[in-house]
Amino acid sequence: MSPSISDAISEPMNTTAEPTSMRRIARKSHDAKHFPGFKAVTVLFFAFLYLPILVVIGYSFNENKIVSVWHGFSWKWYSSALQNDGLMSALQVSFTVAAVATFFATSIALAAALVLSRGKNVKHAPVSEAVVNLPLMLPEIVFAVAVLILFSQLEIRNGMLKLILAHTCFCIPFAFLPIRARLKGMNTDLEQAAQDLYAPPWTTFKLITLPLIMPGVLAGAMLSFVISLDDFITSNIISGGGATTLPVYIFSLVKQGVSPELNAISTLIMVISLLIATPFWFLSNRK
Amino acid sequence: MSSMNSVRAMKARDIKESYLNILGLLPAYVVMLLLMIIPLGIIVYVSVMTSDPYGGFISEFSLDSFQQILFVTDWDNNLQLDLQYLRIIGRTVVLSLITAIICLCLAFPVAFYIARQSTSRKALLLFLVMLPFWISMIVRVYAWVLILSDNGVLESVLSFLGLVDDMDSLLYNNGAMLVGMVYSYIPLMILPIYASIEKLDLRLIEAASDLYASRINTLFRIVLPLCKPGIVAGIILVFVPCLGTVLEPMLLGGGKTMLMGNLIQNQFGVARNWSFGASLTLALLAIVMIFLMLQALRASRLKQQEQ
Amino acid sequence: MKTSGKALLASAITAMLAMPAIAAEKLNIYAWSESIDPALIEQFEKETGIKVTLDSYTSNEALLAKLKSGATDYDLAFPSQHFVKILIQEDLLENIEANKMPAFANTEDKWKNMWWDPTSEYSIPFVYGTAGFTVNSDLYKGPADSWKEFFEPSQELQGKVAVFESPDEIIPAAQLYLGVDYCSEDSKEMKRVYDLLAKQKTSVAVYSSDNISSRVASGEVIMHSWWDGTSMMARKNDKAPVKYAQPKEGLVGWLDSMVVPKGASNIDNAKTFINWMTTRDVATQEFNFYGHPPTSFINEELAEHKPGNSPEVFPSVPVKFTEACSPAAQALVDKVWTQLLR
Repeated sequence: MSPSISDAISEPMNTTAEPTSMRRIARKSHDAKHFPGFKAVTVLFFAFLYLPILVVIGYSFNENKIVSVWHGFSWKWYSSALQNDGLMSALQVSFTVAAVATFFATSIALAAALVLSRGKNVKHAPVSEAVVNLPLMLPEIVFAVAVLILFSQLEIRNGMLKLILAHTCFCIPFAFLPIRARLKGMNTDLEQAAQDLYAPPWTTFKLITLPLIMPGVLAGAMLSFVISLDDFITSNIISGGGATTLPVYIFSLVKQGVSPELNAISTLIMVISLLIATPFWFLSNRK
Repeated sequence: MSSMNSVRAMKARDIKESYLNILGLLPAYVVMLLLMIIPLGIIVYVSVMTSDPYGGFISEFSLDSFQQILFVTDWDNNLQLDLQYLRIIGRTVVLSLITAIICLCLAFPVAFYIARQSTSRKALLLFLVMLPFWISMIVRVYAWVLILSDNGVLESVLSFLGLVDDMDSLLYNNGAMLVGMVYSYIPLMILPIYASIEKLDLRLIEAASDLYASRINTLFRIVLPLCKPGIVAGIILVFVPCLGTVLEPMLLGGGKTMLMGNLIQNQFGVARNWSFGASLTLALLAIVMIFLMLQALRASRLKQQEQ
Repeated sequence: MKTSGKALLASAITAMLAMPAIAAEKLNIYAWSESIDPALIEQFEKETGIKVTLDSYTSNEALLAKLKSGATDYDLAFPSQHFVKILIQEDLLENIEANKMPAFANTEDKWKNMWWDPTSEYSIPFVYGTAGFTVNSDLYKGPADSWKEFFEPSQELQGKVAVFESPDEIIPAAQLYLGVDYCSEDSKEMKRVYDLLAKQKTSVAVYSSDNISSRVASGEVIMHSWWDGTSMMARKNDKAPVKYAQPKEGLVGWLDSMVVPKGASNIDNAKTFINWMTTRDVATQEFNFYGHPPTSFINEELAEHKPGNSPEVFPSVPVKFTEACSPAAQALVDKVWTQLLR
């Protein structure tokens, strides 16, 4: 994983090393830096990105049972979605798994990130970094198959436990990257000052380092939460009784064909993800 | 004496710190060892065992699963070269590459355009790029099922406009999978390219235009080469997950046009051929490794040239 | 770890605590897709306080694969007869002493101690039926009295045939048509089965066991592999123009049983459910919902499906139940299918 990739995932805005330079030059710019057609492509791109989502949302209000034929506005699919037992238990499973996995992944990632950016004489740091980011380097199906065989050999029965273990593992890099980026971009003057004043390391960490990297920690936690909530491939392969996650449940519905209730469910999921992702974005871009 | 003491104190501190270092990294190592490295080893093991016809595997050494990728035993029990699975592997690689290329062609202008906006607009536009990525993957694929299916949204819109009468389903083909894959992974292409454009020294473009270079020339000879790290990162970020994608072939490909992802998944599901599934997984892993190694080689050669 | 760490920990702990509190008594069912009346599940939950979660599958192979991958935490599943035998053989089922359960007494004698569970210790029969194919009677006026129409479809059916996604009931149907024994270990005979299916493939639009009713109702396909009771419910409930064929070579018979997978955590709840499902009123309501006749006693007068209005589930042609194949025969079945779907 090259640094540019991790930067891109964790803190794309931070790469604005000199936020003013672009603007300053832009002001006195002339045509050379505007490529004709780029704006049109961008507009088309955003249409491509958002039209499908709008279609899903729009038709969730369709009164008709056949999704694509509009019959009039109705909330009824939302009320039937909210009364859907399968959906509710899947929601509960997903949230439990995401919360627990996020907690462990973030703690593990925080410890690793602190060592890798603040520890002195860390041996084989690049290797360690690669190990922490291991799940990012493989297509997910490989990981899914690997843990399926592992759990079946260990005869781990508890579906929730299996999900939590797997999700913790692949969430670690997603929690790690924002924390690491925060630590990297952070000025060490304050920590240095505390040390010069003979503050014990733990006190320095608690009073100086931690508050400063908190936005990174929160961003990492939210990113892992969203990633866990969204996971399909692994959860689908290891799912068992009483441990059906939201995406796996939705998949079973999609296989049964399109329906307005499915649109309503999708819209609800999007709203939930949005509520989690938005604060993440603003946290990770806070200077 | 005092200097001796401080040396000793420093040593003690170093030792303490190295313990702390190990302690901090230990949980990550334990998790990765238990849930990634050991399981990968088990995959290798299963791939050289015999499949149990009812599912699972029997601990009996056999290379059948690798042989099965290339050969088929025909009905008279002769081995015959069979390119079917190779074709699936090829289709997977080609579709993933096409996805990466389409993503690149779309992402570059978008990333460039965004990079030229004011800081606050930049933040907003980047947020809008990432937003669909945060909302559920399955929902994004479902959106395309809804649009492309028989009597789906696209068909009703087109027939409403009087453009078509009755359309065959647009689902269940390579094109549908391609659209789904581009849609799913394009944000991963935009971000790294955007990052490298941001780092770009715009004076170079100015210099080029001062020297009367055409726009096309500036774009292809100045901007693109300088954005190479971002482009390479983007291609890796899109290409690798595409190789193992499962949802698009299952829902948009209809399970009829297979890709490696759902082929592998099937072996652990209804097809019940774990060893074959394991050997296919290793094949997939090998493709990823070769791809990443080629990239790394190129990168190091470039570095050498620069020095 | 000051604020957010604690908040995270707190939320994690509450979530973990909430789980067992909400679902003190649980039952995880793995059943055929849309096979159990949701109203019955609700009623069961209300009567017993047991929280039911329901996952579904669409083929015996999928069930076998899931159970064989081990440790799936299902408490109740519904395999067909031959897979009951395989599951017992593979030590994947709990011995629930079925013959001592009230459900056993509720079962009609002719379904007791069958070859797949001769001592009736592992399974309680549930419902039975056949696998055949349907035609869309609006779009197809030709004959539908032989597997020939299905396996060697005429020109007009090009791209309008849909087949189950797994071989479990298709290969036996092909064997009925060709006069090959079920579970044949003769690779020459199985080659004939393969050739037939390979030729049929040129007319096949899709191999799928999901979402059959909408594909049939919309006219997307004209001929579709289907089950008797399910297709009958589509005809009766959705007024779909669907006709279940009665091929003269015979229909492929199946009987689903209720079994408890090995290592299930809620065996007692599963047994409660099994007993409850076989009580007269419940079995009758389930019959009315699912369309497949139960193997336990029902209130005949309350049953909606009678020979007069339900030709699907009272077939006029012979029915031949599928058998449990030996590993060698199973390997041939899988070989036909992998080569077919490549």
